Amino acid sequence: MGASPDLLVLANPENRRLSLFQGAVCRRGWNPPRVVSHSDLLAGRTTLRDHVRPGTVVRIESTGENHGVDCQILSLGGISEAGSIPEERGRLLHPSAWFRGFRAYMESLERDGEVCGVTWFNSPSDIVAMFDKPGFKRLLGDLAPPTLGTFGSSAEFSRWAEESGACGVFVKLPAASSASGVAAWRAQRSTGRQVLRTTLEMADPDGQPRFYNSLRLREYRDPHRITQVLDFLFSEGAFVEPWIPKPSFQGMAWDLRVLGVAGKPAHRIARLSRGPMTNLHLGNHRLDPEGLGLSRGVWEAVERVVEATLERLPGSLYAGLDVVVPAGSPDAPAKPLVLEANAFGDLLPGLRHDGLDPWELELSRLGTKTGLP
Amino acid sequence: MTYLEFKDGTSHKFWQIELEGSAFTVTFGRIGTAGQAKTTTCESPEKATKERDKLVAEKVKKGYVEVAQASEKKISRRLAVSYDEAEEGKTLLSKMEAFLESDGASGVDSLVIASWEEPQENSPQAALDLLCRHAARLPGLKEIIVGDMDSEECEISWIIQADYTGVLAAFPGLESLSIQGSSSLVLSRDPIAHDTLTKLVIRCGGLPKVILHLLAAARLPALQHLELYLGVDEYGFDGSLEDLRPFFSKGLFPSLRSLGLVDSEIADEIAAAIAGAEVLEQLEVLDLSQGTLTDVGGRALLDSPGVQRLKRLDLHYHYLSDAMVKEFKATGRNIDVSDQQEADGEGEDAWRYPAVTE
Repeated sequence: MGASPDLLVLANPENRRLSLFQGAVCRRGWNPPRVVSHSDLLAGRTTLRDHVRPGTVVRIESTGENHGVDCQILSLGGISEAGSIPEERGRLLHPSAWFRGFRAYMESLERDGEVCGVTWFNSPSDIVAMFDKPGFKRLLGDLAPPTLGTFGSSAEFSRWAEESGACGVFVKLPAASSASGVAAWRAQRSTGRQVLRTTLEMADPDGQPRFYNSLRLREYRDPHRITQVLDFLFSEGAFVEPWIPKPSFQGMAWDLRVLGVAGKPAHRIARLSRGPMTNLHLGNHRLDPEGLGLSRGVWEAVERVVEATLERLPGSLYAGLDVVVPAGSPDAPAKPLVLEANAFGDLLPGLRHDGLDPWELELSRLGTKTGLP
Repeated sequence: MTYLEFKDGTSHKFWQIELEGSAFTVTFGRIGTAGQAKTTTCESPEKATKERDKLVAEKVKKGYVEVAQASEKKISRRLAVSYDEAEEGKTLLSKMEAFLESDGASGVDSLVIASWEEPQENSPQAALDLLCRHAARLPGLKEIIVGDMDSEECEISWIIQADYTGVLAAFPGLESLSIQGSSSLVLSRDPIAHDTLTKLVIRCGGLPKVILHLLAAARLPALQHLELYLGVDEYGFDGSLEDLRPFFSKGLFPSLRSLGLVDSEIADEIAAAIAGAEVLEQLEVLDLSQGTLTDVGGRALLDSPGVQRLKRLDLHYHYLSDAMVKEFKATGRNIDVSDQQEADGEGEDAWRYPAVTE
């Protein structure tokens, strides 16, 4: 198992992501990792440099699911009243300011890390690259669906849709995790009908629309509501990409979450849904992808796409990739596409590859980063 | 012989194994082709049997399904225009042309026109017309399915359909017709009379009453299975219980064994009316699934002697109470009360919607 490396985790200590990782370290017989909270780092109560020793390997966990930390990040992103924002479950607050703050936090970690010579699980710059969806799509080129544009308002978008003849698109916030701030829009030109499906839930108790992440897919058909949701998304810098129809299995649409570790595709799970979003936290089903009966050729194509994506993330030990094998015709070979890359996409408890869970596999491949056995 | 099929969004394949003494032959390939065959010889018939069982189990584990009746083992061809192909300018019409000119066309039993370019804007009419003009090239065609899309590809209520007058005339030996989508759908411009049609399915978000009237006046002596998605007024259902009454009388379709009036927002009214209807005397299967059925309609069905005689009652996707679900289960009869729904809101404001309202 090799000598125990000095592991340091930057995390929200209460989050189960940390305990799942600690469990894997413990099973490997290594010394327990040291933990520094995001909250202390963001508040300046401590710095990364205070904790790094020669040979320290640093893992950055998600900052999510902690309102206090979210407010610290918003504050860093320029929201002056961030300290007084009350906690409201699911409320989507200033997503573009959040990303500015998150990127600033990651950049400070990257600088500190360079000063003291840190080895990263996933480097802060790669994490930012994965969060920055338009940037990442440029990095991926034709491995990802093309970006069709960004728009100042829903009116501008509508004009574009009419001129280009677009009839089905996804509208996505430029930086967000999972299905947060994603909307599937569709229109019938001949009748002017529209439908928008999204996890964004809108409430306007005081005439000012507020937006929440719902655990249920919402459907809007009223053009006024659709305009409000799209205006919000575009005001936060949302971009548009084509709606690539997912293939169906037993009446449900499916795509794949593939965890890549040390450059190779590892854990994989199929995600099945009755709506256009397959994210598992929306109550969708997961399935052993063997059950899909995909041909060897399709799997090889998926693996090639995963490997090519990981090559573009040289600073990352792992990445969770959402891959769609577009619904083909019987005459055309499938061409898989990467829909998203998730820097914290290894939260796949119970899933095994070569007998190892995601964290066990990452630890077993840590030598590819440290150069140690 | 064991015959298995596998179907999903990307592939439609078959796999069959035939045992003869100590050898077995595996044939596999895409449904609609002859496939390729490979014969393996084992040491003994026992070993061959064991090996066959192992291979069959492996295929089943991979999601293959055994198709038992030889009659279901049909040569099927699926025409689809994928998103990428539509982007490249491929059309259903060009695929239909290529299919009709292909060598295998004459042996095809079942033709699935799955999707076409921008189905929310375009009709498959031109491809259907071409098919009809060359009907003589498809002497064995028994089944036509048009619009086999899911909501990933198109809103079901937005699919632009076609006029089927020509199809019914060009294929007098057709046994099964399934149509998805009711926008621009004309089932026939003439009164319908077809001697061999045994199965008719129209799946849509809302069925216009002109189609109900046309069917109520149709001569379909062979029709055994009729399945109509009634849907909601927002997507084109402009009828009422009165438009359905002809279907409740006995003998409208003398061979009818299975009647589905599904996905309806007036499911309670239909249940109450059909519970005492004569048509039950000729039915084996009644399908009132996927609608807004509540305890009101459920009670009428439970109390109906005619319903009790059915071989199967399908009520899946419903708004029945827990107590009534229990009551249906307690009958011990073949009744599907799975997929219970919960209304949005309570009391007078409760909102219930059928399954296919997207």
